[in-house]
Amino acid sequence: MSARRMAAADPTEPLWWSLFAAGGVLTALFVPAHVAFQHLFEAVGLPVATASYDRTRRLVSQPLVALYVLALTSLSFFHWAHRFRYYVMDFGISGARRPIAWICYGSAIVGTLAAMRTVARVQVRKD
Amino acid sequence: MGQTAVSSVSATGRWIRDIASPPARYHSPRRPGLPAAWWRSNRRYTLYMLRELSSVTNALWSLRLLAQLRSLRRGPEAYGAFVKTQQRPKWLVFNLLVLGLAAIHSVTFLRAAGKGPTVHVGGHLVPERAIIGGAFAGWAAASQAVLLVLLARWQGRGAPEEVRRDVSA
Repeated sequence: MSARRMAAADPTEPLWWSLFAAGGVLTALFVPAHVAFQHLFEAVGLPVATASYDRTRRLVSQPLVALYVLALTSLSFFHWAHRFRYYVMDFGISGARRPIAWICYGSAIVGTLAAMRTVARVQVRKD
Repeated sequence: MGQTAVSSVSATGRWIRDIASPPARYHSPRRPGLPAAWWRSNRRYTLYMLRELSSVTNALWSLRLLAQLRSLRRGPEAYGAFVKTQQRPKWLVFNLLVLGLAAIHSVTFLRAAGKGPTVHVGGHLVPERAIIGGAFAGWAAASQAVLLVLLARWQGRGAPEEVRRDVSA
């Protein structure tokens, strides 16, 4: 790649790609298990921790679990943002690339802030 | 242009890789660019687009997980009501759709893990199959960890007093 083309390349691309890749790994490893063992088990009435209010509060009050929930949700948003940005091009929408990128990454940032707020607010206060 | 498969041929003349045939009128001079339904013309393209779609359903699932946690703040009744919504046909279909697409993402993503890195152990190149096997073993271990945590009845430091009493009783 010539120096001129390098200069034209988006300098923030490595950041977005890294967040996308991290989200890809985390969602690949953990989302199927969560859907199957958490939400589908809840649906059929199996006694998993998240079916109980008390057990869920206890779980998300563990610092490691809180951090894990934050990483899983936030990185899945960044994974979506980077993929969706190019997904719309696959459907033939090749214009407005910059606004689409802003909307995608902006939504992921807003989603991350919302996830941080949610995880922080459901922590049980220590006496 | 005819529908000829694009292939690479090794020095020995053996076929080493078959890349899918381009769809009809892929780059027709009369219709430049991709046809709108290009991804329906080939099974691999359709799978690719479904894999890409999994990022949408995974993000929606994350939003629902956060909504579930938010409902904790409204008390046990509100949380119980949220958990009950999982039984509704609409959310069952949603969860099954998320599970199906997430599984496509997991399988394709972990299989791709063996394509990139060249790993050497003791001077020997680790074969692609071993790297992919390790990635799938990691997936199995991660899934098992999620299941174990969901089934555990541990008593955390941050547990509310009434919960601690309930568990120790």
